[in-house]
Amino acid sequence: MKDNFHLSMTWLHTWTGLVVGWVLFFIFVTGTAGYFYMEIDRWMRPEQPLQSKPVAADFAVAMAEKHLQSRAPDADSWTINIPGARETPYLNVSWRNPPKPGEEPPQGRGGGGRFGGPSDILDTQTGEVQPSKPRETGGGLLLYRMHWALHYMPYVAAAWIVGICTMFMFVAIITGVIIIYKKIFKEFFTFRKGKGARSWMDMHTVISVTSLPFFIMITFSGLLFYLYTYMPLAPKILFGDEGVQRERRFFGDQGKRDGNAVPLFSLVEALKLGEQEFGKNQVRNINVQFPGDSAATITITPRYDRYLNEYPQLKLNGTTGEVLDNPARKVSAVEKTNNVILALHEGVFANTLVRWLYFLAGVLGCAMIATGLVLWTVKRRPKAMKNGKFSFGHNLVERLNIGTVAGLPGAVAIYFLANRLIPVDIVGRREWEVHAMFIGWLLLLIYPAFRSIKRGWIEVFWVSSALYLALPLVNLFTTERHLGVSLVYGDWVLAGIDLTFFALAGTFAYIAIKIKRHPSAVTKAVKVKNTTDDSTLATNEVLSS
Amino acid sequence: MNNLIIIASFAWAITGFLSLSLTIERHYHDVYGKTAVALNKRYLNALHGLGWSTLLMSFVSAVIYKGWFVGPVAWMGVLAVTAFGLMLLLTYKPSWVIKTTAFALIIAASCMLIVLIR
Repeated sequence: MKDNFHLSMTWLHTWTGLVVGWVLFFIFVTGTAGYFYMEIDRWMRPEQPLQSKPVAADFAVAMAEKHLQSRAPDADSWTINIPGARETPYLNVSWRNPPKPGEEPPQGRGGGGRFGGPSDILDTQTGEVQPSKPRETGGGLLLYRMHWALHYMPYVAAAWIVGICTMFMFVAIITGVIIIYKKIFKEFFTFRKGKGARSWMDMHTVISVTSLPFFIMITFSGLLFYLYTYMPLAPKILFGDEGVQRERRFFGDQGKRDGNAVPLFSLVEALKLGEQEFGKNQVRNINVQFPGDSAATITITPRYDRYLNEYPQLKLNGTTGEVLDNPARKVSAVEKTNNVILALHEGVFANTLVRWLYFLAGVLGCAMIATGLVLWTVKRRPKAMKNGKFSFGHNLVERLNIGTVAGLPGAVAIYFLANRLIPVDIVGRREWEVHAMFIGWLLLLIYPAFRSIKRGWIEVFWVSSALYLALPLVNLFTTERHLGVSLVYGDWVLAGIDLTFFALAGTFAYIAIKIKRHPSAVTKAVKVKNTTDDSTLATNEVLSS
Repeated sequence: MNNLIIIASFAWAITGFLSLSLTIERHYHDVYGKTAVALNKRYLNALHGLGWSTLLMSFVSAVIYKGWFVGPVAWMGVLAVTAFGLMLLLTYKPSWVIKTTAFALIIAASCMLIVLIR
């Protein structure tokens, strides 16, 4: 009975992992890149200026206020982003003009910028507007979006596919823990190298165990994002059909103009009140609703790198500076719980170091899935060898593994390359970047079918390596945002991305060389004759044929 | 200051994991050779004590680094990355294990000390 239980858990683990493994790998690769989507966004818009030089917050706000007063005195809403936080690399001001007659007022209280409205990036020294008309691109955000919305399909369909895969992953994690729980501590660091399937198994286990808290957290919280898609009746019963209500609860009511012109409360003074509340240099942005009107309000948002369960804001009366009650920001225990789980998934609070830890944990997640997929084939090769041929299914898994594990990272590199190489003025440029990525991936999936397994792995890894190596070089010749500029200026976000490309190129090249040096037919053929029972050696012979 | 305390967190984790790894027979023999005499109970207990208490110190450092909310999350990341790296060390360079443990202990203690004195 006990053995039976263990066996059925192993069976469940193997097959739940395999059937969704490739989709999960895609989700993990795009999701891991997503931890840096804002940074990638900047890399993919090389027309934008370099990071703003550090500037005193009050100086920046005074400059921004002056600019907005002259540029958009009649706007309904102003937003000032104070540079220094991850989300605010520039001194960026945006505004929203009043809706034209007959036009629906937009949801939310945001200014322009993100919401497609007008915005300017100001020089932090002179206050002058910096040129920043970016090329048309999906940027890092689109890549990140594929992590939950895939691409080329309706949002809800993707939500279901991703959700089902995530559920499978959750099953795989739970069964995986059941399989190895006895050895978790005893074999915590165990990696026996050079032992064929044994080594793959060890590596798969070590990665899974050392990052287990991350994997459980990320899978479980991932499911919660789609709560309302999977259980659509709940919000309908609770909130009625109007989705607007939720929006309104989140953003707060926009209110209305009174129509009496009253000078705006000094934004520098408002900043001071914000810093009293949140700490020196902790204010990230200031939003003004109806500047110059007697109904004006000022909302001050801090940096979120210390908050997990709530997102505090300070709301002021826009003419007197009096602190207002902000009911939209009072959160219940349920909402706090929800906030914590979602914040853990997205790492909204993560500073540079914690963000890198998230990224590395994500890379380990990719490696866990990859080793699991490879393990499936390595375990089954000996038997297939004995039968003299690989079944169609086995061959298919081998090829899909190559095209996905080695090929998908290459396809992502093609997405970045397309961003640099597709002419800026072409129509549908944004979509073509994505097409390039998926066409590239398709080719890398098909190519291994015509190669032996070993050659396939080596060559596709070399292709990926070459593509990543090409990125910083192409960047050098096509933009003014290459390493020579970013390093000298000290823009570590842009430089970091180029350097990461080099690191990835090196990693893939290293793997390719490792596979190539793996004991091959030439050295092992003789031994195989003597030790025909040693299946791994025989496997090597076929693999390198 | 803030950077020192997260370095301490990493270094405590390295000390802790490596001490604990020495209580496992496989790694003990990798480090001291196949013929080494097995550790007696007292040494084992001491290593366990050192290992778990330094892991606790790593947690404390992470909490000092970013507070009660974000600190534990950062700590999980520190543990995951450290454990993976040490797995490679134990496999490919077992002869460095003692040196690394001692070095990490010194770094951890001095970082902690500097932060506390200031």
